[in-house]
Amino acid sequence: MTATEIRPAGKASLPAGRGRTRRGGMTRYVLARVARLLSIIAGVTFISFFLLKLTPGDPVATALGPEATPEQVERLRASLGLDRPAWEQYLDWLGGVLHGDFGTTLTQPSRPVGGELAARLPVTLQLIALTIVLSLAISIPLAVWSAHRAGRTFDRAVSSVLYGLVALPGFVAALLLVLVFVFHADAARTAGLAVAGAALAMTVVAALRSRRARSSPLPPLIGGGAVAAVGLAVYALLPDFPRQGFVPLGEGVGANLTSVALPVIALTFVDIAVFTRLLRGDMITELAKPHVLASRAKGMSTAHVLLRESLRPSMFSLITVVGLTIGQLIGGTIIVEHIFRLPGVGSLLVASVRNGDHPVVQAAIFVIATVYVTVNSLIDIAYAYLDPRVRQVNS
Amino acid sequence: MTVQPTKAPGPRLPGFVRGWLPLLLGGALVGTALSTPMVLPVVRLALAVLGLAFAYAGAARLLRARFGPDFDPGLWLGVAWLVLIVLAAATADLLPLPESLDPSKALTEPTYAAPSAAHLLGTDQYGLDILGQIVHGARVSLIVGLGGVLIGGTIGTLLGLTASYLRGRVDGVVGWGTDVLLSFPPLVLLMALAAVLEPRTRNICLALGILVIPSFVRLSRAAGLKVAGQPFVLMARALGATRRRILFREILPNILPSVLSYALLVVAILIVAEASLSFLGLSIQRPQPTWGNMIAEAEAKFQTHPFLLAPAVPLFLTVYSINRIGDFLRAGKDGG
Amino acid sequence: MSIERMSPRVLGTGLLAFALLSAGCVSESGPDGPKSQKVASNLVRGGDEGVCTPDRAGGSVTITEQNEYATLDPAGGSFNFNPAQQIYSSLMRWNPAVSRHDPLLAESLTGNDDHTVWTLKLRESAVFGDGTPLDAEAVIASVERHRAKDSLSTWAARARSISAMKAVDEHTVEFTLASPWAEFPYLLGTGVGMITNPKVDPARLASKPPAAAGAGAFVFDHWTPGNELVVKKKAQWWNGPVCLDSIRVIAQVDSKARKDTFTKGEAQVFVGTADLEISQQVIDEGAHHAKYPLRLGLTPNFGIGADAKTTIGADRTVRRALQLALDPKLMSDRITGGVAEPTTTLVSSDSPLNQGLQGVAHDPEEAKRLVAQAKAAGWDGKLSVMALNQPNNIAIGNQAIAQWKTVGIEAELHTLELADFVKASILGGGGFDVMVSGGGNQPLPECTSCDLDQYATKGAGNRVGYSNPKMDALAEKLNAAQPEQRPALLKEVQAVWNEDIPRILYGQQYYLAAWSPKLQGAKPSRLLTIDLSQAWLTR
Repeated sequence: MTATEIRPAGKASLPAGRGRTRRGGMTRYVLARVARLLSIIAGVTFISFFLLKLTPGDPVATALGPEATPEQVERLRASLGLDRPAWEQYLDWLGGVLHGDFGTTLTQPSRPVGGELAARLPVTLQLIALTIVLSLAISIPLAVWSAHRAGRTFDRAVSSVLYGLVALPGFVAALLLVLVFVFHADAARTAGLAVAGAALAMTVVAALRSRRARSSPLPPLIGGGAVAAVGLAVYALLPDFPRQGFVPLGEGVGANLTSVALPVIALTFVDIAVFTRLLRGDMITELAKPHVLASRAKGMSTAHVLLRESLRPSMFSLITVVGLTIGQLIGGTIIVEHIFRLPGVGSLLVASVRNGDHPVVQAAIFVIATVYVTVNSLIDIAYAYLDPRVRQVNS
Repeated sequence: MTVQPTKAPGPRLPGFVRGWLPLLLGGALVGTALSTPMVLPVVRLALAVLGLAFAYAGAARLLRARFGPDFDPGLWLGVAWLVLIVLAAATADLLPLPESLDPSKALTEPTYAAPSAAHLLGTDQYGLDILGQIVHGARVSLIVGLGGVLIGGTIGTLLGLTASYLRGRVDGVVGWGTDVLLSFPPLVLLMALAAVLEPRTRNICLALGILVIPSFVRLSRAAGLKVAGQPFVLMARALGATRRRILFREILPNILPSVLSYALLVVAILIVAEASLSFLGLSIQRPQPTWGNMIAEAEAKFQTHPFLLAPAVPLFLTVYSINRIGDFLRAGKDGG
Repeated sequence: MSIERMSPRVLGTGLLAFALLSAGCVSESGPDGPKSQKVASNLVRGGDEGVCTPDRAGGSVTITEQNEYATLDPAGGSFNFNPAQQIYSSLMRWNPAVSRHDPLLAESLTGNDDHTVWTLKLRESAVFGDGTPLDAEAVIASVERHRAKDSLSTWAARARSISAMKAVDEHTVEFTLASPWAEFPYLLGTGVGMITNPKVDPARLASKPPAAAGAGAFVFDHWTPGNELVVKKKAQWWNGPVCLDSIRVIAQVDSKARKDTFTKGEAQVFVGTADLEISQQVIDEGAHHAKYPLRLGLTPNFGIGADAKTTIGADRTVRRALQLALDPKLMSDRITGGVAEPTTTLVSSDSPLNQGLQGVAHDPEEAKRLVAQAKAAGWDGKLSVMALNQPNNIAIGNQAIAQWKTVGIEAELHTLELADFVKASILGGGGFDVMVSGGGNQPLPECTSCDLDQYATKGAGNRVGYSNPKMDALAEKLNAAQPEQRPALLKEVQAVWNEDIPRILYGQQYYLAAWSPKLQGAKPSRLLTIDLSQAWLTR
């Protein structure tokens, strides 16, 4: 699932920050954050336990399969300790976690839950890292140029496309990517060539026109050239994407990257839109500030004005949102993991919920909540460190 | 590569041609895409998208020529679409649509039929009319989106408002609860709720509503804090107004606009969330149509029967429109 | 109009559209639907190319299955057939191409005249991974684990029909059965015939069988549940060279995704179960395959566990109405894309076992009459149908419900996740009257008598509580019957069946194990299992 669909709405739009000490300085602030973090994690495990107790589902039945007999089910249930009272099982689990032991899976073959999570976390983390990097790489240039050309054709076209990206549900995006790049890669290559050709033709005509208009032919040449280059790159370099599966980094960087490319692209759609819209808005505000107008008037280059004077200060809220996005992606890669059969935390979670494998679900929720809360706390702390007002002002 | 009219010397194409040409070209492309079965579906899809982009650009130019340069055609198209889909969903039972709900009444209909006069978008594996299912599915999507927001928005706003006004321990508890709920992987919450509750419209509303409570708490708390410090609130307090009066008469009306414009965006998010749940088989089940479960069912067949994917279009358009309008409202509020 | 005056955008689009159109016109095969209603013909294609020779060595194979199972221990319950087959091999092998059990690990298996004593001869060269000989003692110890009182084995009930085992000599085992069973070789082709090394601790077999555990051509390498299970070839195998370096088994629940993986060449073996239309497409696209007949239908609940006294499925009048209201042709068209043979007979029309079987004909008028009759007797006309939360099962449930509605039955579909579904279908308490799918519906050409295990009162596969003395008697007879007597007996079964409707039928189709023609020497074995010990990949 692209995170974003089920990501709690609007987390991104509000800066985090609450429960601060009045004048405690950095140390006290950090300590308070850590205490809060622990209490939240404790709350999450507690709720998840009760929630899971409510759900039906019988791991024993799954373990034995549809050909089992009732006697076999009872025997296995007893041997797994599932006939004991619920609270006893929970206390056992909690005690184990405090010693770093997450117990063993109920689903057979029984194996340590900790190892299971450790095997799957890297896959999800790689997805998240690549998604964030790719989203930023695309959205920062888009946002900068959109802000520069606010209200003009480029800006309008970009914002239309962004609205489209937000409106495309992650699973539809993933299915379309599979259809195009896995099963019609040749058509995609040809289309890349076609785009390159059309872009070149457009560039030539536009350049001729701008020469007649005695304006610089450089912008159309750069823009058209970039599009043509992308088209040609698609034509010449498009690799063969696998339909499913994950290739670990150890088996070759190229194979690893092609195995996660489509899931990552599907995940970036919404993030690109969110990042670009945020940064564009901030930059437009920044560009209207007196000091920027002043340096423009002084004849500073566009690049200097855009990158030095307005992009830098605008990055602040973008970083906050990036942090929140990381936290949300950790539990939000479920749909792409499902569609592309990636062995990540999300698919483990879905399978375990369906199989009624409560120790795994509890441990996975624990890990996801921990990552989420930690990332958020780190951002808050970084914010407080960078901007001392945060520590003192009570929201 | 914008072409500035002032910079372009010499003869230019008349405005109406520059509008109509892309519009017609776009229409022609979409028509080609829909009516050429011998071309790869992917290419038909690309053509249709390209055609739509052009038709939109052309129409936008024509409309701007007619209504002035500030006219935002995307926004108005969005409004028009939403009006259309809400009307269609509200009057679904009255519309003269072929059977689209009860498979037992479609036993003699052809299955996987291509679009025809009888079935404008064809039929599915039960012989049910796809257009009719899209209209009825709109009802589910809209009810889930609005219902979820109503539940989550009401609870969340009240909690946030109370927390922002009372501060202290209440604020601490609400804030803690919000953080706990936010740290919970949302899909697990939904799956757990789906396992406990029967997947019916009401319960999906409830589950999604619970999911969006925290964001409303945060929003209304932040907005409430801002308003609570305003002079008129302090004055009301000094005049001895009751706590309830201050909360509901003074603060609530002031934060309502921002809550409502945010709520609209959440409606879009929940519509997509419901579709995603359907895709995982965790929402309302067939044969009751929802856009999500129709797309999920189409997954295996859409390469040979592309019209099964039709529900993706209204899903896309609705989410697009809501986002567009929501952003417009928010921008208007911030600006004004 | 000079080119410079044209809007570059219009020009660009024109060119782009033209280029796309020409790119798209490449070619596309017409979307002809798969069409086959043949079940017993062309059961197997390929697999007879020979055996691995050292010059054919190299390459790896991926098998994509629908589900992942819980254990690698053949006596451990729901176990992974395909990897287990490579690790342990089996004493006998069902050869679907010629409908016969052939010895695989064994030298021979012969029965006495009344099928009560069976003599198994072992090959002298057969050894486990650590060099321990696969001898009579090993066989007895291994089969004993299936018979044991606390056995979790899928075949426990059938294994207990062995009343005594005796090692005649080092390489000969004599099995004595409690009652005549002509199809005993079947048992040694299942997990019971996968002999495990008695020196290996059985507890280790479930998830990490050591190299010493089996006599097959491969050894277990690693298993990351939810991702993959890999076996690697034995450096030295007693039965000749092994060509494939490794075999990887993955699971994809979604049939379309599984077919995509196979079509894309990311898997060389496709195991198709639920979605028959997809299976037929795989065949139509030229894959080599083995088909395993499948009886399509819905299972009434006769009362199990907590459901014992509440279910409508136990009411014969209602059951008959449900069967009569179902139009097999419509079901086949809408559920399987017309691929299945619409019939209510126990086996397909082209099966050698079918010598003039007559099923129950579609008769909605009679169904209406029966519904009215049942309602007069106090039934409220409501029905609860349970299906696994999986698109194909939901579609089957909905189609059946739609047709039942036309005769006045108000049925409601409840979808369950696998764990709940299995629990409800084993232990009851689901409160359902009719269940979609639910396993155990193969006519099993490799064991005709086993088919009735699902309907005999004490049968191992009888999980819906069905009981009918006539059926029990016929099951007994079928056990002892010679092959040539079976078609006539099956006619008797069909007569009882039509009377009592133990299951609501609508078609005959097959499960599919398919493999790429590049994979040669693959030996299809019992139900959806493929032995790859002597297979190789062409380059």
